[in-house]
Amino acid sequence: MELEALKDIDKLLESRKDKIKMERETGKKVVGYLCCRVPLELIHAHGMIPVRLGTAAESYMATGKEYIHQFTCPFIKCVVGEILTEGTFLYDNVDVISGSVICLAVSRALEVLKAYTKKPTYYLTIPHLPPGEGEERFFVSEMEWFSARLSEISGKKLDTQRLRVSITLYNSIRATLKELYRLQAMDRSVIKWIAVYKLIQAGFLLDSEEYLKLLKDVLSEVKQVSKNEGPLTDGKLRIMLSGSPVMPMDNLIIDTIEGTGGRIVADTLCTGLRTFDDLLVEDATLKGLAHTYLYSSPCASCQDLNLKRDRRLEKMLNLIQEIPVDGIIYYCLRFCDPYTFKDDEIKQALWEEARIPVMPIHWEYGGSYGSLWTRVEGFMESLQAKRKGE
Amino acid sequence: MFAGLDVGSLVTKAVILKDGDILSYYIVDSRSDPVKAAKGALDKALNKVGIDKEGLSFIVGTGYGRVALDFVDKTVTELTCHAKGAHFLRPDIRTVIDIGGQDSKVIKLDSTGNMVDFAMNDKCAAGTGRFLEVMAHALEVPLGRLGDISLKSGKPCLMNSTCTVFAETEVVSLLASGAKKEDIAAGLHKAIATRVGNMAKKIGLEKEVIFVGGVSKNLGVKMALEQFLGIEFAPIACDPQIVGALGAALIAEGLFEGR
Repeated sequence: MELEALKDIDKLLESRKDKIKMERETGKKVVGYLCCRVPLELIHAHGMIPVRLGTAAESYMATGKEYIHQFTCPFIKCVVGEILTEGTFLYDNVDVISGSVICLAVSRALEVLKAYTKKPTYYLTIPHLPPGEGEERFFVSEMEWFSARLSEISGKKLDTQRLRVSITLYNSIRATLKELYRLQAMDRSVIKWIAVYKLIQAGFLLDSEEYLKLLKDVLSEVKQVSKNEGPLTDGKLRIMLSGSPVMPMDNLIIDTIEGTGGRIVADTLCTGLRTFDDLLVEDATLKGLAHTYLYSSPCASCQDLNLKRDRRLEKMLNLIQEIPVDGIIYYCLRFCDPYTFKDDEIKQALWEEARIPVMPIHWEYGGSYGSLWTRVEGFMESLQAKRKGE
Repeated sequence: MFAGLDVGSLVTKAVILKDGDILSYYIVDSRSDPVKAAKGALDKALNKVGIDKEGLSFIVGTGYGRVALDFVDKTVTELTCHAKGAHFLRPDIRTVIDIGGQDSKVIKLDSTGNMVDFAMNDKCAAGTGRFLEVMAHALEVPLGRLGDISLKSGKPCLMNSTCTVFAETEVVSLLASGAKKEDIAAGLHKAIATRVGNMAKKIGLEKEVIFVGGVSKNLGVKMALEQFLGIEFAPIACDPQIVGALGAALIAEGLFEGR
């Protein structure tokens, strides 16, 4: 069923672009950011507009290839290609670029974008080692440095009261998303994961206050409908989708899972749950911000070679406890090293620790669709057989 | 009676099952029309034993062309079908290696014939039947003789790629440099064996192992793969190309009887 509150989401996203253009005319700056470790509350507290880079898969691959070497993941090629394509919304409207130096492809993309867009580009370095006192000290200084750069561009000094307001706003957004996410995973949910994922992506562009209102409307409708119309249960295979970024409009893997008898109920995607789940800032200061971001769900590029200490694997195991699944599809974009590296070891560990089958899928936009479908369908058949046997 | 139709990228196979036994089978070229190929293979298999289509209670389609088969009762992936077919032929089989026209797969099954894990080549036809077809053409050797020729080799050439395009270029340069056809053919088979063998090792090879699909009929590839893996493939009592279609027919029987 389609929820009333989600009906106009596409229109809302489209009109947001016009509003951003108008806000820029009043002197507001747009910060194009890459990846969920850039603190949006800090950008917001400086009166700037955060907009996530990369809005569509495939379309900008060819242009991206002109600027970045071929062994880069297709996601980054699209990100680079889009902002360097004349006439795109991002090309016309991004004033500043910021990104977290985390996976190699992102840091390369930042260098390329700095060189070719000639826009101010700021890198926020994230410690790759498991966080401790030293890492935190370093990351606080990174946060202060980033804040100072934002002050220079916006012409506004960081106001502690404004920061507190921004942190509270983003905390509310994330808390609402968390609630929605847990609701979609329930067997009798009226909202599907795909709708929640679309909402996560909507946050990449929407104004934060408008976004919070949308989330609250959806949440209250989900609760209301559940109360009035009662349960819906489908008995489909419960799937966790894990892996590389899945961009807006790139629904191929999602549609394939749903089309072969699966229902996604959880994710450990680069661009999914982890973008908000552990990001509730308790101490509303720069230090508090640094602490929360540093200790949040680690990026796949920060893997521990000793899987027993690997925080990402631990997160996956905890999530399976919380949201039970029949199997995991581990989606690796070609040349996405953080997810491809150790995919076999993760598969083995999840089987040994939780008896959950994992199927790695290696994919590049525009590959052989029939083979993707067969692999996913074959995996679903084996999960069905496992369910019957249990 | 039940039928299984396996529409592969190069050939289509039909198996007719009666009282738990293979009554008849037929293999035709797939060409460009999967429905026509499937119907053709089915008709031929039925004609062989003089039976009418009306006698079939349930048909299962499989293979890459299964989605186009609008006349079958159900479609199942070739992964599951191969597992079922292999288990029927020999319940002691735990691993199936299949190299077909455009893909290769390794399937692990449990003692009940359920597939528990699998690996498939990613996106191109590197190191598959289509690859050998192109190489046979470049070597000007009939595809069916490529295996035998390679057995005469004393010193297989080193091939750097199983990519059809790159390997063809390599074959042409090797021929130009005076390399013997048997050494090139043996080198190609070794390259395929390394690629598929590594895929098998990655998911964990468990005995007994069978080698099926069109390419398994090439003795050169079979021996190279056995050597690479350090095992001997278990013999099976049917044409290794029809295991997927057999599995489909068995699934048809099981579904009809509510198993």
